[in-house]
Amino acid sequence: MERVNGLFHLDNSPAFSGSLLAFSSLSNFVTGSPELSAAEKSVVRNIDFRALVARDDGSFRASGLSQGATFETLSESERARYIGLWSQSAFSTRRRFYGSVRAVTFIALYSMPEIWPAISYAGPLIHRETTA
Amino acid sequence: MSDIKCDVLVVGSGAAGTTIAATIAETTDLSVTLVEKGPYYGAEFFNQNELDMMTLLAQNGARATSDGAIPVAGGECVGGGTTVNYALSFDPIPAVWQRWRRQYGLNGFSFDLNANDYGIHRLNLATARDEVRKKSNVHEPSDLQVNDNNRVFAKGCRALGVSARKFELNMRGCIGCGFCGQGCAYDAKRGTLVTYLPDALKNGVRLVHHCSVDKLRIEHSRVGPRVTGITGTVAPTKPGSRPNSAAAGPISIEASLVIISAGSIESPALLQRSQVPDPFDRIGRGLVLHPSLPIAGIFDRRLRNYRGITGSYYSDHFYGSHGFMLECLFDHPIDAAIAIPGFGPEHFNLMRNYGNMAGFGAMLVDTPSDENRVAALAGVANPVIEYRLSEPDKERLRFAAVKMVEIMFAAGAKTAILTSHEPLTNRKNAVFQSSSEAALCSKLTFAPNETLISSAHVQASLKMSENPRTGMANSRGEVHGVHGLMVCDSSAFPTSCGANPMIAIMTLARYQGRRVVGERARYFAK
Repeated sequence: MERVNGLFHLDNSPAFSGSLLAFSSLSNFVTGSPELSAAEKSVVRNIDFRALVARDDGSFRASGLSQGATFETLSESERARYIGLWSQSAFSTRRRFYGSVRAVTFIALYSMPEIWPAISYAGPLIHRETTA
Repeated sequence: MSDIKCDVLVVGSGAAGTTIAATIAETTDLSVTLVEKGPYYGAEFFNQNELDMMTLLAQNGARATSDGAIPVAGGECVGGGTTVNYALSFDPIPAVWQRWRRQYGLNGFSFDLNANDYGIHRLNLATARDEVRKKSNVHEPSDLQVNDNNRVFAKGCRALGVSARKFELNMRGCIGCGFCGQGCAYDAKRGTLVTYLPDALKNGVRLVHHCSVDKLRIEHSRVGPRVTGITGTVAPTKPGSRPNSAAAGPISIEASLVIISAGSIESPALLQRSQVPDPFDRIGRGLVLHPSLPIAGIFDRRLRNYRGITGSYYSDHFYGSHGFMLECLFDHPIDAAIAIPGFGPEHFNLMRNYGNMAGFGAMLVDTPSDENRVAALAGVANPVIEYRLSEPDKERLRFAAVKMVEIMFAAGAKTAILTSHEPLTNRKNAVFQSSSEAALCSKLTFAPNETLISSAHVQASLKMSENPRTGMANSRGEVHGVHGLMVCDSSAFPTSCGANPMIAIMTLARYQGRRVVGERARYFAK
C-alpha cells in the first residue's frame, strides 16, 4: 500500500483515500486474502470516508437501504450492495469513482506476493529488488 | 543552467525519436541531441514486478481520457513505447499510405523499393521498412514459442471459421518469461532501447533523459516564426536509471532543427504550450486511440497464459468488414484484476481461476473526429485527452464483443467474462455461461466508465497534410508556417495507421531521417 501511495500520491487525493476505506472495510473483500500489514491498516484507518458519502439518501433509497443510514452503520452486505450501485450509476462521475477505487485497491492487493499463490501466479522469474 | 548547442534536437526517445536521431547521426557529422522525459532504464532495472514497472508508463499508468473512461497507456522512459509494448510488429500498410496521399495530398512515401523520393537515392518507405525490420529482427515466432493462451485463441477462431495467424515480433533469443510489458530483462525484445539507441550513442548523439521540455523557443522575424530550441528542466536522476549527461536543473538547448517525437499526447501539448501558430485550430484535433476491448475466459484446466510469448496469434478476419483486429494478449494479476468486473468475494471467485484463464481482445481502428483531441490547459499539469466513442464505432465494438464471446466458448471456455459492469438483462456483470448468451453483448451501451475500454496506440494529433486546414505539418513533417520545426511520430499520421503502430512509426522516422540528411541544405547552413 505504501508503494501504491508513493506512485499515485493517494494522501493528496481525498477521493482516492476515501474510496480505499470503502473497499477495505468490506472485510470479506477477498476470501482468504492475507492480513493487511500494520502500515496498511493505518493508511486505511486514517482515511475519512464519511465526508465523501456520509449520507446519500437518494442512492440508499434506490438500493432499498434504510433511509438516513450512514455508510458506517451499514452491514457488510449492505455496503457491498451500495458500492455495487456506484458501478452502474447513471452518473458517470460515480462510475468513474468506482472504477478508480477498484483500480487502486486491486493494484495494492494483487501486487502483494502473499496473494499470488491463491491465484496460481508464480510472479517474476528473476528475483531482484527494485531500486525505484 | 545547462546550455547545449546542436544542429538537431529530437524531443522524445520512443519508436520515432530514437530512430530518427540514429538515422541522422549515422551518415552525417551533424550534432544531435536526444531528450527524453523519463529515465534511462535498462535490462538491469526491469525486475518483472508488475507494480514496480508501472513507473515505466506515462503518469505511472494512470493516464486516461478526461472522463476517466479510457486508460491511455504510453511508455515514459528511454525507448518509450518500444520498451513497454508486446513486440507486436505490423508493417506499414500500403493502402493506408496511398489513401493519405490521396486525401491529404501527401508527397513521397513511395512503397517502390527503387523509388527515389525527393530525388534522394533509394528514399522510399519500402527500403526504410526493410531496414527497420532487419534492425529490429522482426520475424514470426516458431510453433514451439506459442503458449497455451495463444493456442486456445487460435483454436477458438478456427472452430468458427475465423482466420487466425501469427504475429510478427521484434525479438531475438526470447526465453518466454511473459514480461514484455514490464521491460525486457534479457534485452531479447528488440525495442529502440537496444537497437537504434546504441547506434545513436555510438555515433555521438547526446542523450539527456529526465528532461521535461517546458516550451519551444520561438523567434519571430520577417519570414515568419522560427523555432530555435527549447527550454526545459532536468530532474534529478531516479535510482535505477543509468547516469545522465546533463546536470539536474533548468536546461536550454539551441538547435537549427527541432524534431518533435514525444508521442501523440505530449507532442501536441508541447506545441500548444509553446503557442505555435495554429490558425486553423488543428493542434491535437482528430486524435485516434485504437480503443480496445478485452475478454477473459475460464477453462477447466490449467493454462500456460502469463508465461511464454504474450502475443503470438491474431485475427484480421473482421478487419475488412468491421475494422477491428482480434489480438491475443494476457495480463499479469493487477491488470487482470482491473479488467475482471465486480469487487469483493464475487470478484475474487473469478480471480481465483486466474491460472485457468485465457484472454484476448479486440482492437478497433477508430473513426477520426475533430471532437476527439489533446489539449494543454493552463493550470492543468498533464495534457487533457478528450475522447468519445462514435456511434458507428460502438456498433462495431458490440459486434466484436459478440464474436469474442463466441470464440471464447468455441475455444472450450466454461465461462466468458467481458470487462463490463453494464447490467445486461438481469445479470449483474457481463459474465456469460454459454455461447448462446453472446448476443447479449449487442446491448452494450459503452457508457463511459461502465465498460473498460483501453488504449495503447495514440495517433494522428498533429496530422501531416499538404493543406494547412486539415493538418499541422506538410509531408516532410514540417509544421506549416513555422521554420525549424518538424513533427515525426505517431501524431503525424493523418489517421490511424491501421495496426499496432510501432513499425509504421519507426519506418516513418527512418524515412524522414534519411530525407533530412538528403536535404540537409534545407535546414543547416554548414
